This record gives sequence, C-alpha cells and structure tokens, in this order.
Amino acid sequence: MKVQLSTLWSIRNRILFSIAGLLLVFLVATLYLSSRQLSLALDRGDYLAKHLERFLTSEEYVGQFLQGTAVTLASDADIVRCLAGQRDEAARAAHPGVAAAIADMPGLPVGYGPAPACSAADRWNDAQGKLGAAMSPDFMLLADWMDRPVGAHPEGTEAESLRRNLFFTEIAQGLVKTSWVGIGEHAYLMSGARVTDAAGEGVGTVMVGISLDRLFRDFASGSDSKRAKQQNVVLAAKDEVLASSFLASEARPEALAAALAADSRITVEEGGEKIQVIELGGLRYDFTQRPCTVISGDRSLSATLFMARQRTAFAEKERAFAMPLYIFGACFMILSVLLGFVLARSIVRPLRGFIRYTEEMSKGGGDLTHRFPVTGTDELSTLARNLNAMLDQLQFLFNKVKNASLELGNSAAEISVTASELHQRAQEESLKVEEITTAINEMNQMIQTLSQNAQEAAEHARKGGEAVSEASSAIVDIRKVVVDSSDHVRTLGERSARIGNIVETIRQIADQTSLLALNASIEAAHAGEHGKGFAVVANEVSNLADRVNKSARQIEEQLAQIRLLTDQAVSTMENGTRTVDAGVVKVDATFSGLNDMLGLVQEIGDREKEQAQVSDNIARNMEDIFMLVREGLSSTEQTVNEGERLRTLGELLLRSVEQFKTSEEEQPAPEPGAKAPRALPAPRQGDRER
Amino acid sequence: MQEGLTTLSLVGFRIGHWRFAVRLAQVKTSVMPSRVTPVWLMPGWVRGIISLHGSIVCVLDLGRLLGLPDDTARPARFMVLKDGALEAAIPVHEVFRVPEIPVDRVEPLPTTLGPAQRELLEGTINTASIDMTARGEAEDILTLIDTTTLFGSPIVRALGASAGAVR
Repeated sequence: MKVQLSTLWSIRNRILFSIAGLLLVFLVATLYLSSRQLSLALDRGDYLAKHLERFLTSEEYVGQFLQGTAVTLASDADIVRCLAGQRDEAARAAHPGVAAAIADMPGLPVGYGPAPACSAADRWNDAQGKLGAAMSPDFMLLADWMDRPVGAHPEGTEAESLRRNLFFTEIAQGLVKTSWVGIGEHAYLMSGARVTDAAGEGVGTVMVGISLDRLFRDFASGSDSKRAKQQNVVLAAKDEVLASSFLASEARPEALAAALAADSRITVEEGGEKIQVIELGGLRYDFTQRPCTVISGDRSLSATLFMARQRTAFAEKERAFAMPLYIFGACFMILSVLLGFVLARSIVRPLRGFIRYTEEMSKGGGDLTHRFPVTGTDELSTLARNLNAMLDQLQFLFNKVKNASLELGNSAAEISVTASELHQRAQEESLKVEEITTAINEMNQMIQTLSQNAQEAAEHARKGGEAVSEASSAIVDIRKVVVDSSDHVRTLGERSARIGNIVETIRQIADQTSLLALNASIEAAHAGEHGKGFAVVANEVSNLADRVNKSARQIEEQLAQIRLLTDQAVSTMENGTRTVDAGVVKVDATFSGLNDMLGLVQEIGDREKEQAQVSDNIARNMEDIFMLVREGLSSTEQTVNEGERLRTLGELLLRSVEQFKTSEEEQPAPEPGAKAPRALPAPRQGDRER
Repeated sequence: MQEGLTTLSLVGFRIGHWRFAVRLAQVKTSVMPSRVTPVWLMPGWVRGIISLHGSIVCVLDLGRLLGLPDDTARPARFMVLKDGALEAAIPVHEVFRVPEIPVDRVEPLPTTLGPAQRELLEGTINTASIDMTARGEAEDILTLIDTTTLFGSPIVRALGASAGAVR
C-alpha cells in the first residue's frame, strides 16, 4: 500500500512531463521541417544547372536543323549551276582566246561550253524569301567563288570582312559546322556549307544563322509564365555581353556585364552556407555558369554562359519566421506546464482521502464501517465505489470470523469431551477386534482345507472326463469296424450273386451237354450194334450232365440261402451302426456333461482359492484394523489435548478480530478470552450421541 | 415195332404234365427250340415250320393234337421224330432218359381213350419199378408213341395229303 502511495505523487509529474514532452516533439518536428525546406532552397544552384543542360540540348537540335538547311541550300542545282556559270563567264571574259579555242573543241562535255544566261542572285533571293517565310532565320548569306555576297545579304558582310571571319573561312574551305559566331553587333547560332560544282570545285559559300538574343529570350519565356520565375540566359565574354534574354528595359548590357563580373557578385548566408548571388536592378539572382567558345572575327574567344533566376522570398524571411516560432514555443511550454499542474492536482486531491484511510488501516485496528463518498462516474469515483464494496465484504467477513471464532471455542470444548468418549469406545473396540481376528484366522484355515478338497475333486472329474473320452473314441472305432464289416458282407452278397451267374452258366452247359448226350444216344441207336459202346459213353455223359445239373441246382439253393443270410447280416449291421451312433451321441453328451462338471468343480476350486485369499486378506486387514484401533486410541488421547489447544486459539482469534470496528454501536474492546461467548451456538448433543 | 428185339431203347419227354416215350431209332435229333414260322390256313395243332440244317420241318403241337389242356410254358427242346422220309418236330418241356425196357412191359392203351387218341398212340409203359430221372404227375405211366402210327394216322395223313408239308 505504501508503494502505491509513493507512486501516486509521481502521477502529477508524469502528466507534466508528458505534455512538455509532446510540445518538445512538436517544436523539434517544426524546426526539422523548416530546415528541410531550407535545404530544398539550397538546391537551387543544381536546379539551374539542370535547366542550363536542357537549354544546351535544345540549342543543339536547333543547330542541327540549321546545318541541314545550309547543306540543302548549298546543294541546290540552280544555285550551283548559276554560280558555276558566272565563274566560267568571268574566266572566259578574262581569257577570250582560250575560251574560243575550247568552244571549238568537238565533243566538249556539258558545262564547258558557254553557259546559258543565269542569275544566282535571283535564285538566292527566291530561296531566302521562301526560307524566311518558313523559319525566319536572322542571318542568310550566299557568297560566290570570290567571297562576294550574292543577292540580299546582312549588313557588314562584304568580301573583305567575310575573308577575315574565321568561321567563314573554315566553311569556304569545305568544313560543315555549327558554332556561336559574332558578326557585327550581334551573335548568332550559325551553320554553313560550301557550294561545289560537278567537278567538286568551290563556286560559293552558304551561311544560315539564328540570333542568340532571340534564342535566349524564347527559352526564358518558355521556362515560366511569370517573369520573376523565368530562367534567364546570358552569354558574356571578356566583360562584354554577347547575347542575353534580359530586355534592355530590365538591364542594359553594360550593367549586366558589370553585375556578372566576379568581383561584383554578392555573398549571402543561407542555412549555414555561403552562396554567391548576382544583384541586378535591385533584385538578387541565383545563377549557374558554364564555359564555352564563341567565334568572333578571325579568332575564337573563351566565353561564359550564365543561367540566372530571381531568388525566392523564403530565404529572405528566414529570420522573421524563426523568431515567432521560438516565442510561441516558449509560451506554449509555460502554458502546458500550468495546465498539467492543474490537471495533476485535480487527480491527486481526491486520492488523498484514500491515502489517509489506508494509512490508518496499515497501522492496524481500522474502522471497517467507514465509506468513501461517490460523486460521479470517473475513474476515481469507480475506485471509491470498488473500495466501498471491498469494505462491505471485509466487514461481512470480519463479522463472520468473529462468530466463527466464538463457535470454534465451543466446538473445541465439545471435541475434547467427545474425544475422551471416543477413547473409551476405542478401547472396547480393540478387545472386540482381537476376538474377531482370532475367529477369522480359524475360518481361513477351514477355507484352505475346502479349497484343497475342491482341487482333488476337480482332478477326479478330469480323469473321469478322460476315461469317457477314450470310451467315446473306442465306440467310434467299433462303429468303423461294423461299417467295414457291413461293407464286406455286402460285397460277399454281390460276389455270391456273381457265383449264381456262373452256376447258371454251368447249368446251361450241363443242359447243352445233356442234349449232346441225348443226341449221341440217338446217333448210337441209329448206328445199331456198332453204336452200343458209344451209347454207353453217351449215357455216362448224360448222367454226368444230370449230376452237374443237380449240383448246380443245389449250389443255386445254397446261394439263395447265402443271399438271404447276407441281407439279414447287412440289415443287422446297419441296425448295429445306428445303435453305435446313438451310443456315440450319448457318450458325447456324457463327456460334455462331465466337462461341464469338471468346469464347475474347477470353478469351485478357483472360488475356494479366491475365498482363501480373501479370508487371508481379511485376517491381515483385521490385524491392521487392530493396529489402527490401537493407534486410534493414542490419537483420541491426542485429540483431547488438541481440543483444549483449539479452544485457546479460538479465544485468541476472537480477541484479534474485535480490534476492528465492524458495527456502529460496537467499540473495539479487547480481552475476548475473559468474555462469555455472545452468540453461543446450540449444543451439539446429536453429534455427541452419534 | 421191330421184331426180334427183347428190349426197347427209348427216350422220354414231357409235355405239360404228360410224359411220353419214343424209340431212339425213331428220333432224328433233339435241338434247342428256335423261332417257328407260322403257316397260313393250317390246323391249330400245326404251329408252323422251322429250318433244321437247311431242311423245312413241320412243327406239330402233340398236346393239342391229343386234346390235352394248353400249357403256356416255354418249350425246352424240339424233338425231331422221323418215320422213313417223314419228319416232324415236337416242342417238349423236358427230355429224359429211359432205361432199356423189356418189350413185354409195353401195355395196351386204356379202353377209356377215345378213337381219335387211339389211332395216334401205341401203348403205355408202367415204370414203377424202373429207376427214372424225371417223373411227372402221372409218375409211373409213360405213353409210348410210334412215329409210324402217328404219321400214319388219318388226321396227320390228311394234313400230309392236303399240304405235303410233312415229310
């Protein structure tokens, strides 16, 4: 409880720290974001460099286009023919004799004869008009083989000045290229090509260019709709501005050149970094620069290409932005601390009541009838409600404990009395148990004898069963023998039938013989006196046949007798078999009965064994019981003593519980041991009787 | 009847219960009974004909001829009797031997017999003192048949004249 009290104080601090911490996180995040914005601003130099690259790429495309135009013009057949014609005409005028001689040569190739009337100037002017309508180049020039301009041409491009120009001379020598070229007051993106005749000899030069001022201005106006955000391009060489996207009204070339000069640049500090800016007409410009080459006159100059953009307002107002942030931050900090303090106080104040009460409780002997006021539904009110409920429970519990300790004292006294009675009874029980044990031991011996007898009976029954089984198998054997004999007798009958057949055959033979003998007698009679001897033989044969016949008849009679007897024997044996079968069934029944009896006798034996075991166990258990009764005797003695001790403890418990106030009219009064029990429970006469 | 002989060599046969004897010399042979082919329009005592070693022999029912009661028992032998060229087979139920009998033992036929029987038979022999193997109902009396008398009787002769079947 003390630990909880100590942590209660830290709640206020925790709230304060939480609010302050949140504010700090907010400030840090704000500062981080603003510095990030700053770092974005610092990237402006790179940003301009990228745009400069973009400009140069588009400028290169324009240059290629110009180059294509120049080459196309230089290879125009009319221009080539006219310029070649003019050159040849001039040559013929200079050397008339040679010209006449050549003209007379037969088979002269085309172009060597006198040229037809042709005006290169007209042709060029026509082409210039058409090209101007299509792409309006700022510089177009066609020079003949003597470097003289043909047709319309820009000012200051006479033969002399052209011959002094490095770019022109390179083109006239056959080079095809595009460069930044300064001619007169202006600078151009210039491209050119040499005009050659069929023999490959130069007959003129073509040059086409676009003003760099115009190119720069177009790029700047295309970069943004607002002038202040446009990217300006400036080409400067040797403190002189050659071309610029700035209008004369914004900055004159001299002022621009002066501002671009390295020593006139201004250094500003932004986000801890020093940045150089250009100041022009009261405005500051971020810039990036890149070295390049410009052909001016008879040499090529080193120049610098600048890209400049007006600076944004953010960096200028950085200071003005940071200060209010800090001031507001500090104000919010103080305000939040105050707010946290009030909040913490409102939480902690109601807790004080709980703290005081729990302190009292922790010292011991508190008031359990006290209740905390419950005013709302917030967490503290819930806490108060729960504590009240807990106190209700405690009060109820303490009251119960008080009553229970009173009852405990009484019960202990009763236990003591009951225990002494129990002790007496246990002594009596001990004697009786001893007697029972002796009786059970005798019974056990009797059961053992019974079990042995049952086992012997089982053995006799088993032997009887075996004898019956043998008798049964002997009867079965007899039956087999009888059946076999019956078969034999039946076979005998069949054989005698066969003998009958044989006898019949004999009888037939005898009959035949008799006939033969008769016929022999007849023949002998026919022979007269000579046949007498033969007649005697025939008579004898006849006699023999008669005897055979007689014997055969006797045999037949005997056979009939035998058949009758065998039939009787078979029938008798069948009866015998049936009787034996009935005997087998009866013996089987006897055997099964004997088996059942054997099973029963064995079961009786087993049961007797189990009974013997059980009675043995009972005897042992009775001895155990005897021991337990003995132990019970000493236990009851101990119980009497413990009952006394329990009564003393109940008094002590009652005294302790009565230190707490649990009802309005009651005062915490010690010495409960001396007091008579206020709510003595009904005496447990029933229990004692039990 | 042959003259000069003191004894008679006889063979006996039985038809039903009646026993007869005939001289051995008048017997051609004795054969096992064979199938008898009945002959159309013959008197009742003629059973039919048989083939005996390729010859046609008439079968006479002696019992019926003598007017004895019919015996349906199957005959055991055919006794083939002859008288010269005449032959006839008689179905009999038994053949038995008769010992030599003195001629004087032949006695005349009893007077009670009708003339029809008299002309067919020769005489009777009392065999009471003679050892006999077979004895019938009239045990001691044998009726002696003479083929000459039998075949020469008017009734048989009439048959032979009408049909010429009896040889």
